[in-house]
Amino acid sequence: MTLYSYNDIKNFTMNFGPQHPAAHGVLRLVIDLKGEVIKRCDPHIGLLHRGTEKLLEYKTYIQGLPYFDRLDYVSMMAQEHAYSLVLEDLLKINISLRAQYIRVIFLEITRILNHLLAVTTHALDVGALTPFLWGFEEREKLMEFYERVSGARMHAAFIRPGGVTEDIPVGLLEDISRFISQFSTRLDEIEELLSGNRIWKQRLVDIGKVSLDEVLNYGFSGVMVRGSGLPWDIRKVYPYEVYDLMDFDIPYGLNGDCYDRYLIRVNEMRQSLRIIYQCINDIPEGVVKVEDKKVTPPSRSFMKFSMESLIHHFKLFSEGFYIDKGSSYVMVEAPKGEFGVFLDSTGKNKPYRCRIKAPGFLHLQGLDFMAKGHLIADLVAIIGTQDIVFGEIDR
Amino acid sequence: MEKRSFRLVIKVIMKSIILAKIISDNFSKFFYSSVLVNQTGISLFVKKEALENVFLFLKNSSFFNCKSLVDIFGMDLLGRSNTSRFRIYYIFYSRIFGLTLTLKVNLDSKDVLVSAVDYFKSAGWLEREVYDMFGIFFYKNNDMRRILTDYGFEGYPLRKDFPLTGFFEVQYSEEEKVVVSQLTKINQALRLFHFSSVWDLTKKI
Repeated sequence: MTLYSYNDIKNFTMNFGPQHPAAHGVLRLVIDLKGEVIKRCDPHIGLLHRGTEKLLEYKTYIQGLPYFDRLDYVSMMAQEHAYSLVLEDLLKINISLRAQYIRVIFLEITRILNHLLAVTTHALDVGALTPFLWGFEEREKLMEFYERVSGARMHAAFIRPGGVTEDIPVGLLEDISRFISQFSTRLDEIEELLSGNRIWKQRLVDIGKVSLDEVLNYGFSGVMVRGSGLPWDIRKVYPYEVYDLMDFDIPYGLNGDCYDRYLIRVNEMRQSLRIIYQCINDIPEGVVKVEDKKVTPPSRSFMKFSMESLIHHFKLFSEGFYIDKGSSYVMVEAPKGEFGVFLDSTGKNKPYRCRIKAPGFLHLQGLDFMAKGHLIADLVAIIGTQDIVFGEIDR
Repeated sequence: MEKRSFRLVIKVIMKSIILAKIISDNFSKFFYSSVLVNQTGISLFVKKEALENVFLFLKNSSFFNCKSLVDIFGMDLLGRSNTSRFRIYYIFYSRIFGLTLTLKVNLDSKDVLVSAVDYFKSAGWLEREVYDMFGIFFYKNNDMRRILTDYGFEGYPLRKDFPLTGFFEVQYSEEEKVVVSQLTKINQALRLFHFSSVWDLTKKI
């Protein structure tokens, strides 16, 4: 009979995913366990890799835009906005004030859309089903707003270089204001279920703690930075569109744990409501596209009688526009963090190189150190708090 | 509309100019001379031998205070440059100064780069991605597996000489009951339209 010493016991290696409901998509993790404690976790990503960056090199600038909706498929407009900004930077055009307000309204709607999914699916992973059902009802209403401006519930392709596709329909702003006046009570209901909930706090407080040094070292962004006590928000640091005319606060946490990040997400939704409210009050009249018909398409009705408009339309959607030599890197505060687009042009109608910087990519890299020493059940909570969506990570 | 962000842009540009001055006074041996000031910070070319020293300085020197490396990405310069094949971009944040620092390194096709992972943890996966997409090796990074492409993938997809359609396609074979990899078969070749024109199309009318 042999006696095994404790040191002979090897760590248990477990495969998590790629098809696991808590993995938020196609995440494969190889986890080394000691008992139920995680010693090492190695994420294998790329199962949703579609080669967006390569594809963009073969598409004209306008044809490339819808690919951005499909990166992070829960915060669609934030990404097409980043792409539009980088194109406007290279084209050196300024868009009208009304278009900027419309953009900000829809960017904040997108933020609510994303955070509702993030918070409620996080709760679902941890075991609370009800917020998920309530949250998705509200998301449905928000996607209806998407549908009313663009015709698509999710992949809108609404924000385009030079402004937005078309002006918002009559009555939409009233409906949005009706929505935001009732939405804060919906948030209260979700908070009533979660914020003070004993189980929720037991599962989240002191889980996945990240210190500020780690945040900076790992290049985290968005809620992951703000959770650890640094009020860093691109909307305040390098304001774009009309964010510097808006009055809003940056919620930030002090402990850097999952619970703080949950509270920040809920608070950011409230701040978004504030921004939308101000936008609806201040939105000016005016055009929503730049007049340069080499960049934006003419209206359908003009095309019926103006030969020039017809030619412009045809040339824009077949050949696209040309951009001078140069490169630009633009970062925006997408709901998940800093979403960056780098574009290099050689004077053609297609990008020479388009780099998409996804916030989730760097967050997922930190999963290893965040999950170390936690239990498997906490790993699920950490994946939830990082708000991982594979469309943007794998690109 | 113009005046609101004007003050902020001026502030950033002033800080960028001061930083550019500091760089040209003290660190000129690490960088090539041209410093570009843009709306959020500065961008400049680094000598690739000096890269490791630059990382050290960026992180620890109080002139820079770049505690976070946000992005690393490559660009293939095939046919654009006679001297170098690739260009690598490093994006740093100096959160105290509110500046973005873009470093550019030009590389030959056989060059390897030193990893930044000893100084910035975020470099680990970013370098893996550059290696995956361009085949540029980073030494001192001890995890140089491919990251985004499939297990057993060959070639470097973001190089300009890699075809858009790739070389292999993977599908489930109903007869063999396994996933098989075979050469890509496309009935119609990829058609790219070149809009050549005698006019300068970038010029505004």
